[in-house]
Amino acid sequence: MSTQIHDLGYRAYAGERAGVAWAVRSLAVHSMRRILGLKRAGKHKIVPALTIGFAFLPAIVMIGIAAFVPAVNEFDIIRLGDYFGFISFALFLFTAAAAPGVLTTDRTSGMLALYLASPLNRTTYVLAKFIGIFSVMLLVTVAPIVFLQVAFTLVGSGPGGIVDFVASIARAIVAGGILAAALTGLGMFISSFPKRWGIASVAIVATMLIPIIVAAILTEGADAPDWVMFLSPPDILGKAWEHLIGDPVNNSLALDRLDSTLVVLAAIAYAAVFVGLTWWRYQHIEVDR
Amino acid sequence: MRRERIGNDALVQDLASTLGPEVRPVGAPVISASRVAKSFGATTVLTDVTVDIQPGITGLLGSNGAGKTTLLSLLLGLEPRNGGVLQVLGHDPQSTGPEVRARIGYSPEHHHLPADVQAADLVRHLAQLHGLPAQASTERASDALWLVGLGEERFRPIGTMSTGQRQRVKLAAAIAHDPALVLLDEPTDGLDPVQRDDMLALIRRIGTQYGISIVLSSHLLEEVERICDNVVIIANGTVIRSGTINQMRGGRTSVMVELDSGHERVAETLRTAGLVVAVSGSKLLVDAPPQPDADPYWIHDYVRDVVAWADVGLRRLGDQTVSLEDVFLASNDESNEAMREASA
Repeated sequence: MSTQIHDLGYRAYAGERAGVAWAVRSLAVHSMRRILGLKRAGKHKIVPALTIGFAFLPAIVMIGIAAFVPAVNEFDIIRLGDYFGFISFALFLFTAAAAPGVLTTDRTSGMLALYLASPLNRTTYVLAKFIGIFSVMLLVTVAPIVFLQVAFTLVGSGPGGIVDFVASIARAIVAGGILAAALTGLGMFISSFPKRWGIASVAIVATMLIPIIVAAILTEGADAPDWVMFLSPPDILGKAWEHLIGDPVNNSLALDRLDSTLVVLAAIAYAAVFVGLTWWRYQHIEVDR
Repeated sequence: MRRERIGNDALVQDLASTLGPEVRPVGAPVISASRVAKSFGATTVLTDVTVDIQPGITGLLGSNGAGKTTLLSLLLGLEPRNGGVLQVLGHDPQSTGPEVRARIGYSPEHHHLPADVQAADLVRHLAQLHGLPAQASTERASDALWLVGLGEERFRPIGTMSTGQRQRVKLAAAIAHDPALVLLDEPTDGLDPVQRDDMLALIRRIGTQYGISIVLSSHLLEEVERICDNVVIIANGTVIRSGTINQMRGGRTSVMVELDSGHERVAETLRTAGLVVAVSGSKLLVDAPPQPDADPYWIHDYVRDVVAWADVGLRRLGDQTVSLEDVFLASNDESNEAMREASA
């Protein structure tokens, strides 16, 4: 290695110094870039590109059908409410890839100690990470629906009139926003435990899939009461999304029989609880100095 | 708001005025601690840290586990303390942590850094978090990496770097945002002797030429002795000695003289002049009291003249400085004694 010291001088900095809000913003943007693999080697771009592509795929197919076979609309084949079901696995994968990559690694790579020695503290660190992950999650929870509604409108099979159009976009933002917040919170909380991001990723996917399977077996096979579905976060989040988007799918299952208001409130509660648990966890987490 | 940099004190004052009414007087210590205590559960790490650290380079000296890293965390406001008063750059880090940390650079003890991130990106990112705009962060990250000798390597992923290079990356990250105070936790840990010399010279330069006060923790006396202006010795969770290196040594220098013959005659003459002289074999140890106004080498000249007058062969004449190690060992004895007395 070169041990020679190059002397290009060192200048004092007399310019402006921004505060904590700037630090939060910088860390949030940095986290978004890392999740998306921007300014990183090609292999880091594969998973985000594939999952985002997968989240848009149904929208592209639906628009194709609506554009070329307008008649199918009358048979109600294309339903917005189905969208979450189509892309749910992509959402889970995206959550499993995003949160561990920017939380677990901070603890093992020593970055957490450096972050906490900056103007950030444990709370603003969690806030910055939440903003970063949440913003990227919107790419898969809100963007495809907005894209779909805009495209439907362009091919003439979208919501009629400007008021309906704006309302449909607003619904997409609210429904996708709550979904993104809950998935971000869940991903962050789980990522705050293991030392390796791979374990965190597997744990996140398991936390999504196991409750879905167990709740389905209990309610359909074992005659458990319908409210058991409230204990399965991914089911509740999906159903709340359908209600908020204004097109709930009804297959006469336990999940479909739950009160829509309660389902939406439960989804909001899950988002709050997961984010709150992450905050609480990070107040006590040990930092390697 | 544009600010003119005049010096460390001006900066500190500037910080003080942006933070509120608690304005720090010019010339006040960078760090002021009084009866600071910290325990983790049942384990007491710091029992009573009382010390004023002046601007300049200060060595925080103590054996492993003495509480150096814990004290640094308290200075950064990362942990609540269990008692005492603490002021860093004129403010309590526990209540104004983010504002104080914006003006502190910190290099932790561990060498873990994200492996797949380029050195320049890491330093830029941290400069930005400390409040610098994007453009300035990029420029200053580059400058800081050149300064620490990693200019050519700044676009390399940190995972491919040696421990010595990582220590430099951490130092660059600590100074890129032009802090008023830099805290370095064992900055020479893991370096080979040549790298260690370079690193110490670099720290010395940053501390003396750029108006940045430095507190570095170390368990190596020799290191602290070489580059620090001030020393704080910690043992058993309390500050047992603090002051400038010269104060520590008692402000006196001894001169060691080796003669062919005539020891007693030379010694007697020097004693008559009021000096304290110890004879051991062919060597004389002449203890010189501090004479602030005199030429620092007056004692050497005087001994030379006496030897010439006595007309004996002079083999060697040189400084016999009291090393910090002597002070440290003496302090440890004292503190061990104090512990024994306390427990008795």
